[in-house]
Amino acid sequence: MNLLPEAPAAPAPLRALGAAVDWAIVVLGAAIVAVVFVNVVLHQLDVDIAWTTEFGELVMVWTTFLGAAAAVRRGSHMAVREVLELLPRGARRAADAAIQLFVAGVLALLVAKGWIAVQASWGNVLTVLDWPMAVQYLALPVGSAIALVFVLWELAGCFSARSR
Amino acid sequence: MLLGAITLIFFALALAGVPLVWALLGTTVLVIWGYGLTHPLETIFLTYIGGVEPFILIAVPLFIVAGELLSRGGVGERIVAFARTLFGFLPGGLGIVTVASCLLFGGVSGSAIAGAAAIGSVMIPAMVRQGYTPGFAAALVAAAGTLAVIIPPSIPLLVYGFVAGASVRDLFLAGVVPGILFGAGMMLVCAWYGRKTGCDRGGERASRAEVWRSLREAFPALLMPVIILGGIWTGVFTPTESAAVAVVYGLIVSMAVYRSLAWRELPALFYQAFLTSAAVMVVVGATTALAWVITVEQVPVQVIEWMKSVAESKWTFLLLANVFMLLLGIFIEPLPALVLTAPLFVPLARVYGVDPVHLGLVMTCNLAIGLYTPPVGGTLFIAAKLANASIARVSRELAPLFIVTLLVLALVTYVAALPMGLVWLIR
Repeated sequence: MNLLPEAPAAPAPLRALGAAVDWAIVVLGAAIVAVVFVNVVLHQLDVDIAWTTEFGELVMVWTTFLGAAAAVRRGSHMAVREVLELLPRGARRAADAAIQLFVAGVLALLVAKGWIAVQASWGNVLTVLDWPMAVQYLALPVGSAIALVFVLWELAGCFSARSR
Repeated sequence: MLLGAITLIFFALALAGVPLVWALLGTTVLVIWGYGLTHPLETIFLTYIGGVEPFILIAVPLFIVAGELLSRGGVGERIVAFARTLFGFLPGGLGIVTVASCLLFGGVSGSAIAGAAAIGSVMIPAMVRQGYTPGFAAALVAAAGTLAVIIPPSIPLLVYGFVAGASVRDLFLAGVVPGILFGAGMMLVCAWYGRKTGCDRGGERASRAEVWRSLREAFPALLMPVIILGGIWTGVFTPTESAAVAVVYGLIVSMAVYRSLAWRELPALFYQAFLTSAAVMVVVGATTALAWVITVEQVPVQVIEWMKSVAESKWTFLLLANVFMLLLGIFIEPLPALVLTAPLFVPLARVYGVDPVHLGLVMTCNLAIGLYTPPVGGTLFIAAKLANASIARVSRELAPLFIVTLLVLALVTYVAALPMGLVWLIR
């Protein structure tokens, strides 16, 4: 039984990567709901647990950047495609390839520069949790790297006969 | 100069079909390289993370989850049934029921898309059966669905509050009267349409017993805005916490009370909601990065100087702000539009003596209208899809709704007491 929506066809390793990302999003998402709700309840009982805010933010960052990768795979990023749709088929394919190439460039920058930011932040710690900042910043290069894998697969599809 | 280059690059990329998040980040990088600015990209990308991170913004995915729970959990149908016993007898009754349902749904959901989907999926088929044209039915849902972002709770108002440093509680209060005014205006259009076309002259009034029965059915859903908004306004919980309460309450209502949702449907529901939220949040984050460069490069200061030279009074400023936001809203979704423009407009509002809360509300109303302004828009697409009507057909039927909403927009903009009355009362 499929608990999550059907994903586009791809080779097994890519499917496995995609499924892992998908389930991570579900679990982290549920964790956000749980943490914030527990915070409300404790708040009423006049118990203040300071770590919930920081932990919530940390999980939110990871969920978002993994979600951005999943959105690449499923083509669900917000985009204005109306102009593109006006083009004839061949031109649209070329334009799609150009877009994927551009996106791959941006993602490669995010991975590279994000990694630099991560390395610089092992020494700084989160105020309450006392974990390295890098744990949070790592979400950017990791999420972007996974997104890059999906984009490169799309790009390869633009040049081969594989239909989308 | 810089602002012109940014606008040009961004619109070129976005209209070429580059997804907004990459278009925004690409614009940021290209501008930094092109102008030889010295900000290291690591710093820029940290503001990208920073734009996603704030605790208050966790409310965005949570309100999306809550909206999904309610629309799939049978809340839409029950709210519609209740509104029907109240307003169904009026001329244009079904249209009026649609608007009333969107208003009620707006009180539990902060997302226009969720509102249009939940109410539209029930009301569009019903209206078409009654003889409304699919174009009008879709146009009405596209417009009324956006009431969800004006009536509190509202995701765009929440994000504006964060970016502009304005009180979310005040913003939510300021949304009440304008939301009702927009709704009332749309209801008048429905009554006029029902009479003019003769498709819906109204029927019999529901008996008291029927009203009572439908109220009882809808009660758990109607209690939700009382809990959420009551909680925020009395300070029992913060807006973010209220979103978590909304999710848990939505889970209880749709799974235990209405029994319309099964456990095994939850993973997909959470997945969809967090995927949607991630797609929204990265755009917010990317906009934050771009807005950072704009701010550091002193663009807002230049904009203020320029605006001072064109707009002599508060009134001209507000007029220009409206025109600008309407145009922007045609192309860009409310959230990124707010994140991008608030840093420019809030300092201006101070110069002209406009309350940032009032400004935020006016901006959100404009961007809400943008959601159904053709050729592109979130609720426009959903409603057209639900009605199986072309965008062109829906667009033609939107005309009377535009007249009314623009009139209300003018009122809300120029009569500050309308949105701000409740805020002044509570402050």
